[in-house]
Amino acid sequence: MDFLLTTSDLMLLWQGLQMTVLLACVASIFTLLLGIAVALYRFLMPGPFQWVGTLYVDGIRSMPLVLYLVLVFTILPVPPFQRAVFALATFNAAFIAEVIRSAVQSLDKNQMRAAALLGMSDYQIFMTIALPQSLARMIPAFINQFNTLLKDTSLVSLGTLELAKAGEILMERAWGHSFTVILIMGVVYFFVCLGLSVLGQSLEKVMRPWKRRKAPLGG
Amino acid sequence: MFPTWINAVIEGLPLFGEGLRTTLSLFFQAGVIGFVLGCIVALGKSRYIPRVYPLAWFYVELFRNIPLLVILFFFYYALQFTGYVAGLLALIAWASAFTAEVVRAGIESLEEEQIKAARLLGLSRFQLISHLVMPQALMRILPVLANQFMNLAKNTSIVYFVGVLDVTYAFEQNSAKYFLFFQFFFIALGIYITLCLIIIYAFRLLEYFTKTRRAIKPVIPSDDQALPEPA
Repeated sequence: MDFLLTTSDLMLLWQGLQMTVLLACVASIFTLLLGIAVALYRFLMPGPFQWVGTLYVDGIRSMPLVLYLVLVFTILPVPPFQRAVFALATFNAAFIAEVIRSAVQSLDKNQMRAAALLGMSDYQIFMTIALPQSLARMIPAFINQFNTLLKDTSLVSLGTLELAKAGEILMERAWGHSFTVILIMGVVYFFVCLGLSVLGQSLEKVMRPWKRRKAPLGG
Repeated sequence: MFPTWINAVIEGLPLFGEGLRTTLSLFFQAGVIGFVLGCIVALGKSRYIPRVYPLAWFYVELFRNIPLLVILFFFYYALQFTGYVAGLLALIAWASAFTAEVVRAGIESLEEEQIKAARLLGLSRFQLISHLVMPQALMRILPVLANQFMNLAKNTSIVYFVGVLDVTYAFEQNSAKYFLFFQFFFIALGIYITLCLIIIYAFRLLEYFTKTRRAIKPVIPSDDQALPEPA
C-alpha cells in the first residue's frame, strides 16, 4: 500500500479546488441576484399573486438539496457547470429571499410610510430604503448561507469535477489513498469555510459604525 | 378514466416504501444519538463539563466546516463501513455538531443569577445541569431545534451518494425505470414535506405542553402583584 500521492493526483485535487471555488463564487452571485429578485417580487405583488413566491420559497425550503439536484441533473439539458450553477442558485435563492423578507419586516415601518408619503413608488422604496438596510443588517445570515452553498458544491459532483469528485475519483482508483485524500479534502474545506466566516466577521465589523449611526438631530 | 402513467406510478410505490423505511430509521437513530451527543458537546463548550472546552470547540468547528458529503466519504471510503452505517455515522457527527451550537445558545441565554443561586443552595454540578440548566435551555430553543431536526430529515438524502436505497434513491431509480420524472419527484417531495410538517407540529405540541406545565403561579405574591392596579 502506498500512502503518498503522486504529483498528478495532487494536480487533480488542485483542479477540483479551483472548480469548487469558481462554482461557489459564480453560484453565490446568481443566488444573491435571484434572491433579491424574489424578495422584490414578494414585496411588490399584491395579495392574489403572492402564492407564486410562497410556492417557490416554501417548496424549495422543504426539499432536500440532493433530491432537487437529481431532478435538475436528469431533466435539464445544459452542460454540467451551468447546470450546477442553476441548481445551486435557484436552491439557495429561496433561503436568501426569506432572509431579506424577514429583514425587511424587522425594519421600522415609519420609514416606509414616510417614503410613501414623499411620493416614492413601491419599487423605489424597496430598492433605496428596504434593501440596503436589510443587506447591511443580514450580513451574518448571508455569509452563513454562502458558507452552506460552498459546502453544498460538494454535492454537485453528479457531473462537475470539483474537489469532492476529484477526491472520490482518487479514492476509487486506489483504496490505500483514502485516508490521505480524505485528510487533504477535509483540511482544504475546513480552511476555505473558516476563511469565509472570518471574512464575514470582518465585513460585519466594517459595516457596524454605519449600521449603528444615530439620527442626526437626536430624533 | 385515469391517465396511462398511473399504473407505472403504482408499480413504483413499493420502492418508495422501502426507501421511506431507510430514511425514517436513519432520521430517528441519527436524531436521537445526535441530539444526546450534541447536548454533551454543548455542555462541554459552555464549560459546564470542565476541561473539555478545546475538544468540544474542535469537534463543533470540524464537523460544521466540512461538507456532510466529505464526512460521509470519510466513513465510507477511508474507514470502509457499509453505506448505511457510514451514512448513519456521518449524520450523527453532523447533527451533533449543529445541535451543539443550538443548545449552547440556549444554555448561554440563562441568567447568571440562577446559576449563582443554585450554587449557593449547594446543588452539585450534575444536579445543576439536570434540574436547572438543561430543562430551561431546551425549552428556550425548541423552535430552533425543530428547524435543526427538519434539516436532519432533509439531509438523510445524502446517503444517495453511497447507493443506499432511501427516498431520493427510490425517486432516481423509479424515474429512470419508468421515465416519469415529475410524477415520482412529487411523490418524493410529498414524503419529505409530510415528514417536515410532522416534525414542526410535534415540536409545537411539545412547546404547548411544556409551557402549560410550567405555568404554575408563585405561592408568594411578588411586590408588583401586591400593589393595587392603577386606576
